[in-house]
Amino acid sequence: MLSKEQNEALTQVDSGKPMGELLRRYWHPIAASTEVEKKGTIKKLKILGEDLVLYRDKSNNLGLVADRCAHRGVSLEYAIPEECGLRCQYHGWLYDKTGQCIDQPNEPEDSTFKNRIKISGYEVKELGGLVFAYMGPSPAPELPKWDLFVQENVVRTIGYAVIPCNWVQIMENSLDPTHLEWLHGHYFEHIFEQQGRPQDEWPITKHHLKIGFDEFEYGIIKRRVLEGQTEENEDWAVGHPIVFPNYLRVGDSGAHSFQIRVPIDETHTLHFWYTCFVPAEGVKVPENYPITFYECPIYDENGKFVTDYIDGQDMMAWITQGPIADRSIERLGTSDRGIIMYRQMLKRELKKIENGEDPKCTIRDPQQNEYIELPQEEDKFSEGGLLSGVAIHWNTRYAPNLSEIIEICKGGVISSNV
Amino acid sequence: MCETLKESLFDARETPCPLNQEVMKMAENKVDEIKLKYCPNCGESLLKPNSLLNEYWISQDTAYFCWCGECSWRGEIIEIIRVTAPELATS
Ligand code: FES
Ligand SMILES: [Fe+2]
Ligand SMILES: [Zn+2]
Repeated sequence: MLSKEQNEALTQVDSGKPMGELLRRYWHPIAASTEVEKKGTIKKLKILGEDLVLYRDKSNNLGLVADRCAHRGVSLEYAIPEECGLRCQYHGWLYDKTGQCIDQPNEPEDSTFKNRIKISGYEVKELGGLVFAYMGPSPAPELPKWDLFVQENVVRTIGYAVIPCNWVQIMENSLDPTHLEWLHGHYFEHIFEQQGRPQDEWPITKHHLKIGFDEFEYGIIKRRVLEGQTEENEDWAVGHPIVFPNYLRVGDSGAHSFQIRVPIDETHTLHFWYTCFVPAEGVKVPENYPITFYECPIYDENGKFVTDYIDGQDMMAWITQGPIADRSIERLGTSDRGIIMYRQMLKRELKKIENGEDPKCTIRDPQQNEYIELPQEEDKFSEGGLLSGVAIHWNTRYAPNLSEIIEICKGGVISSNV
Repeated sequence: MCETLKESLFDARETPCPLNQEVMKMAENKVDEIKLKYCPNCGESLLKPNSLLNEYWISQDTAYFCWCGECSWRGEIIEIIRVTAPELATS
């Protein structure tokens, strides 16, 4: 339980708010590259409470600027991407990628008025099929090359959803290992039963005997010992990380994935499920095989949560806590210590930036950033390649090319053309 | 229904039965006031938004996880209801 004030401080994301400032020290994925592939494309977005437009200009450069024109406030979602920048559709003011106004066609030729006009403009970069933005003070740190973004010979998919709740409760779910046996175990069995499907084969209902949390260079490693396991098992010995501040890494030998939670505003989160499917020994993934981008449904046609897949179950849990979980009425027990540890880490890192230091996971040395390997469990829940085996129970079941990916990974021939 | 429990339904402040009171408050999801206020190390308020004062429960005990945004002290404080000794050796 927290006071209302401390809950607010933890969950606010706007510029000038403490957590908003901490979040602005990191690169965040804001779109899939395929969404803005074509020159002249504009995509309207809201990130960290700011209305923005992402565009690809005619010279093939991406830009990210405030949505509203400084002149009379129309939305630049309908603007004209030019050779170099974005021109407002209303009276032709032109903004470069920093948001500086560089042309006002209807003002006197020698006017210096434009020099005094600037809208927000942020750095963007592409990596691993995602577009990332940095909205903090200069100089921007390196865009971290986490292994999954740069790994070779894997098939990637990107799922997404716009989740109507605050990002912190989503992250707290990742510091809560025991929900596995309930939400994705017993509850899943209940769903199977309701649907008249056989439940006996479901392997993730094992009881947690022990959970642990260790801080490491890039975040927190979460560990568990399940019934029938010892500390020798990978679930404890390797564990899987929360990459500070807003990634979860999960996976097994067949599929490695990130769950990335980007605050849209206080009550909405842009969620990415970024998966790398690992082919069998000796199998070569076709050159330039596309990265598919798909939406993961939250609700069914009756407006009820889709609860027969793992990520749908998680979304149901996150969203039903309310738009911003009210931590002044929660009742935490000992199994929630990881959640408390994460909250404290957020506060501690915030203090670092107040002291003028870089927060955790700020990478400035390009050499350190060539390939950042994270711990990866292979034998998950002592069930071997479980996650890829149950790919149909994860968000990846919505990937349009899932069966083809499984074929590729097994070394089969591919027939379709995604 | 036990007399104290019934009373506590109407007035949680006056019940002499702390366990029942706790149960009733939880049932009603009443917002408690967090008892702790100050950093045991530097005396700064722990209620400030840049600190963390996180109440939680260890069996019957109420625990406070504290991190002071001023001096960075981190620790737990457990409210004592009943003083017990560890089980003594049998031989
Ligand atoms: S048992 Fe944890 S939210 Fe209900
Ligand atoms: Fe989950
Ligand atoms: Zn202190």
